[in-house]
Amino acid sequence: MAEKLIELKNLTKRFDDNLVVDRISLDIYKNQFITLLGPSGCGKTTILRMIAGFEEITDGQIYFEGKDLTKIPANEREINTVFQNYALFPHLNVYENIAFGLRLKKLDQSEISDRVARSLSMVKLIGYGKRSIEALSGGQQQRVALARAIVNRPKVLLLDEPLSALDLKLRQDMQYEIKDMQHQLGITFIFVTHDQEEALTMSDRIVVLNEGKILQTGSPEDVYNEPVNRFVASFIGESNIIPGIYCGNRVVEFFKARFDCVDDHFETGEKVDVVIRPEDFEVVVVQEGKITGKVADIVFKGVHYELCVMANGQELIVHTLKSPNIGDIIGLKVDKFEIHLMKVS
Amino acid sequence: MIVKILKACRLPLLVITFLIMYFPLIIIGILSVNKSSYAHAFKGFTWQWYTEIFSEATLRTAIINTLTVAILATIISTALGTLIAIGIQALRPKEKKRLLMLNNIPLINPDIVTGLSLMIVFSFLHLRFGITTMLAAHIFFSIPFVVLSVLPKLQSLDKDLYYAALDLGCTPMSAVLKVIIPAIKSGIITGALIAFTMSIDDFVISYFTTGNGFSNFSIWLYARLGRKSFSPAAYAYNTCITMVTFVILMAINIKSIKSKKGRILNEKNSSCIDNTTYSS
Repeated sequence: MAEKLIELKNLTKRFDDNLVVDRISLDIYKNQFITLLGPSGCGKTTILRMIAGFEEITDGQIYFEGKDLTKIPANEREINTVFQNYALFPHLNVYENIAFGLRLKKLDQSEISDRVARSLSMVKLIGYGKRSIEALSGGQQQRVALARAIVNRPKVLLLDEPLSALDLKLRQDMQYEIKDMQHQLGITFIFVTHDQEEALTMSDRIVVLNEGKILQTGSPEDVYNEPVNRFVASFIGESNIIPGIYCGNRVVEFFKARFDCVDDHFETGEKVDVVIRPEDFEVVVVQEGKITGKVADIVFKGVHYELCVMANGQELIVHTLKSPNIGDIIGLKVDKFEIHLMKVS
Repeated sequence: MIVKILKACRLPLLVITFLIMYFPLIIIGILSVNKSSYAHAFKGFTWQWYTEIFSEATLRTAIINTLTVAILATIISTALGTLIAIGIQALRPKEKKRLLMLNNIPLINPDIVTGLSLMIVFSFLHLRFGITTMLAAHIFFSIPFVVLSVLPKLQSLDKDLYYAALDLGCTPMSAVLKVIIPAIKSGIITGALIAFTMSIDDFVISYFTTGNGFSNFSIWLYARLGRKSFSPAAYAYNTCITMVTFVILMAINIKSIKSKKGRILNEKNSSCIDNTTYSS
């Protein structure tokens, strides 16, 4: 395992009577792209601001390379932040914005201009140094914000929903660019977002949060394929959650039929939630499928059709390349590796 | 029909309105070049009064006093008002609202009440009436104006600006000095200009809070109106002030038109570059 860089221990934050972050413990490793993912109000930004030093912690500890970080003021931490609305200094031009941190470190002119030039080229804004901030588009401001942070060579870069103000196309481009940048710099990125797709695309590790608590930590594949509960399953990607009963021996019963599965950490006879992703169903003729349903709706999505299928009184979302008609009775088949069981929450 | 008549009246109405508005200023301008020291007769053109602004000793002192108080009051009230605004902005919404209300009361309070109450306070404190008390009074009534002109600017700033400065290595103090204050510069300048104007033309409050023969221009004028000791150099001084104001306003307008043009050009350029960068 990689070296531990930041350690959160029972981190807690209260605003008046409002518990925003509830005893969170998390290890963050060197050179890792970690994403804090959750709906708005889940405490993800507050965690970030406590790591940056902008928010006092109510309880718990933050260790940075083994030292207690809470004793170090924000301006002395080897951490830099990219803010949601960029927080660029309006009275300074692009060059001076980026050079701001270096000037405070009292580096000499030649080194400053050298480093600013390098980080401008990293964010693909060569030649923009003399521009005023107001003359830049949102995407360009985003790049300046990134350059201003990385020019200081922090050990950790914190990114607070940095892409939320950009339009879709630009956002997707920036996702890859930021991911690339993390590889090039070889430093830890802590990225905060409520966009599950962004999290899946960019992260080495995803931390799913809700109501101030960590629900699940794992690689994008883990979190997507093996969500621990209903919330994670429905927050990350689309999913069908079907009530079932574990019958022992890697067999689960739902929709009045028995299915083989690969999960076995349940008691025989225990109630479980069965998660099946829309793309994991196979549409077949009625005789071949263990599940039978009636097509209630069909929507063309470009690559696939999205069907709404009524089966045993429950609505299922199914993605398929075939296009049945509304009202057709169809069979649905699922591979045993695509059936994921969760404890009922 | 009515619309037509109204439309035809537009230009004459505009001219009449402006004439009424500027009539007093024009009269003062005419009197300032009148050879006679009496206002009711024009006895020929002269620049004499303009040369006498600073040769008439009492007038000269009054003008210097006015400017001294105005400049000091502007500097001090701008500094304090800016800090107060930054403090108010950092408060929670509820506390902020209350404090703003307290800030606004002196603004709507009649000058006569402010003047009288300050006089009572100063005499309670056994202060020597004179330049100090007048200056203190001017600072007192200028601060709320500075606060009011700086606050909107602060509100329009990205609330993370201060944290961004900390993040890049500023101490809290240097974050305010290096980032917040430069970012609200235009609001501070507006506040300073208002403070200066308020101070330079104040009569009522100054009258109550001065003493020991310390008089600014308005007090000097009040003491001499309709008396032998009045000098038409006062008209000349007033006309000068009007001209200075006029020139400053023109300069500000021309500058803002120019910077607007510049910004539109810049936007055009950058959007062109935008398209090329992202479409590739």
